[in-house]
Amino acid sequence: MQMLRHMSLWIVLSIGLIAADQTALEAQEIAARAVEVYVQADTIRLDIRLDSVFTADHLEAIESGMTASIALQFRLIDRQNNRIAMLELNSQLEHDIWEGQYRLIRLGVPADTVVSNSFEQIRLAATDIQNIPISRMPRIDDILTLQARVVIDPITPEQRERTRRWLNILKKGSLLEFFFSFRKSTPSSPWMNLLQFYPGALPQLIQGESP
Amino acid sequence: MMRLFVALVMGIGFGTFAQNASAQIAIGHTIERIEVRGNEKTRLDLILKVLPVKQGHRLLQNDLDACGEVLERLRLFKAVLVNVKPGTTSNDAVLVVYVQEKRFGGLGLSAEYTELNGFGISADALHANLRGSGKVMGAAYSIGERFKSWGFHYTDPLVFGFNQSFHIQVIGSSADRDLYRSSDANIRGRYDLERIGASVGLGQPSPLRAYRFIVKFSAEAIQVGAFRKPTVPTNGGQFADEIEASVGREALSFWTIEFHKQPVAIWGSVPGFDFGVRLDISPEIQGSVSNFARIRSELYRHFQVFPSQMLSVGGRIWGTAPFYERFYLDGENQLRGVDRRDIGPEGGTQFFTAEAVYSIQIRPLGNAYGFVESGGVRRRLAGTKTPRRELDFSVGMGFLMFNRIDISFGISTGTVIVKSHRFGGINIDL
Repeated sequence: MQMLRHMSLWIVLSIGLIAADQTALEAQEIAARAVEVYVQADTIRLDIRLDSVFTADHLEAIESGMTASIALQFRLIDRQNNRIAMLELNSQLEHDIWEGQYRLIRLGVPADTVVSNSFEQIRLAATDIQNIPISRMPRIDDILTLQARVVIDPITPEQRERTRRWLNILKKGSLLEFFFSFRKSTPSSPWMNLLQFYPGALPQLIQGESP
Repeated sequence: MMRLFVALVMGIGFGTFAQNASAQIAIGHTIERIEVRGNEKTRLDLILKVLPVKQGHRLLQNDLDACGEVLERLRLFKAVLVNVKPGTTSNDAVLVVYVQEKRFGGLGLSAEYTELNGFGISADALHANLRGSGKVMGAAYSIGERFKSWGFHYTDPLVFGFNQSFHIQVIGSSADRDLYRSSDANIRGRYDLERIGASVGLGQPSPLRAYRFIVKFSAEAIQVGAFRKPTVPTNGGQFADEIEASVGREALSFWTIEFHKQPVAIWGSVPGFDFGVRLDISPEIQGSVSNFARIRSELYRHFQVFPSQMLSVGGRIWGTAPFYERFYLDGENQLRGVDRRDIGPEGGTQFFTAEAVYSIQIRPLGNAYGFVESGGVRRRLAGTKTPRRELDFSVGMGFLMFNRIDISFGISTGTVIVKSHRFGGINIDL
């Protein structure tokens, strides 16, 4: 009992010690424009341009030459919040600061690469999504909500692994190493509602026609 | 165009597009200025002070790697990138340093087991980078079957604005100790050892912070009590008499000189070597219980090609150290295949341990290994001319799980030893 009392006091003191310098985490919010959802060959497709994707912190990292991984996530949910479809578009943004050159590598199929000296061009290439298949036409014509969020990690897995090597130093007998470890990662951005629609009411495009 | 071609070829060749290419091209350029990004909390002067290059420095091969390593060794950042971009003239370059900060520190709570102290619970907390100055403050508390301890520590990596580090530690502990190894409490005897003390130290890192030289002063109050004499004394009962004579309180103080290589990864997980040597000097003139000097050294080498490692630890004491300051083959000197205090239960003024471990990784659980080890202690007993030596060796196998739980079995001795002690718990990085 005394042991438990000691431990409780200890934990309270520890939290106080660490919380003294706490600052709030910022969740990233994005804005979207030119959202077009349509049906082509029995598939719901999306055209969209996302704004405010990169925060000031991301830009700092990219401008320093960090390689950022970018994940654009889209999902369709029904009235009961059941997920109907989910799509993730991954890309990698590299910046050679000596040459002032950006390189966006889209990791989907087919993969492609955009190289430019203009960050604005690269930003557009990363966030201007055209003719992306989201889902097959659902059988039930109920109202659906299209949501999106962006997850940008300015640290590559290689860099993360390299740093972990330094942070996880285990001195023999060290009191700072444990079996389980919970580490706060970058805060995930909230899902943002883009559009609500009845699938049956979506415009139909014939093959080869542009929206 | 040519520069772009070179950058592309080198980027492909080394697998990283930006940094390596830039680093190669920028060699020979003069650093026009240093740009630091991403440091919301960490003070700019802290980062600039630890970097091995300054404004006006001509960039050499490996300078960027060295800058990155120095910053990583501060252990304040989750990610570090050091890069270069062109300066205002063709001979100049701008060094760009990006850091992603750890937020505050960590909290931990865990269950543990050691051969010496039995089961226990430990908790600790640390606050890294106080006020953005790199200072670290932490506390730890353990309570268990045979050992209880608490401690506070404070470290300033750049005290008074210089590159020296400053350390303060206050610790207290209470231990229940046996004299000999036996299942019968009367035969083994016992005593309590309580210590409370503090230490103050100054550290001087090498330019790349890979090595550290420390000078430290420690003072402790030691109390020996609750002594129970063993019913089967050895060596004429000298050890039991020595402890009985120490019952009560006494003062111990040291000057310590230490030189060690900063560890860079989980022990034994990456190729390379580690070493450390420490000299403690305890003079009676400053109020210490006795005059003695003690040296302890440790050398370790890990080979990648053959996944094996070798470790040797040794030490020697000159003068008359109190019994609790002698070397025992338990605690941090615990062998893998020999029970604690099977060798030299009365402690020694000289000791060594050496081991060779050949391990095979079994993902994701850990490593299975085979080992050969030996350890020994030596001590001169009062009234005898020849020193008493005890030595043993073992061959065995073991399993290291999750880099925490190290259970080994000495085939030649039939002994199971739990060497690493963290059995479970949580660690929260805040």
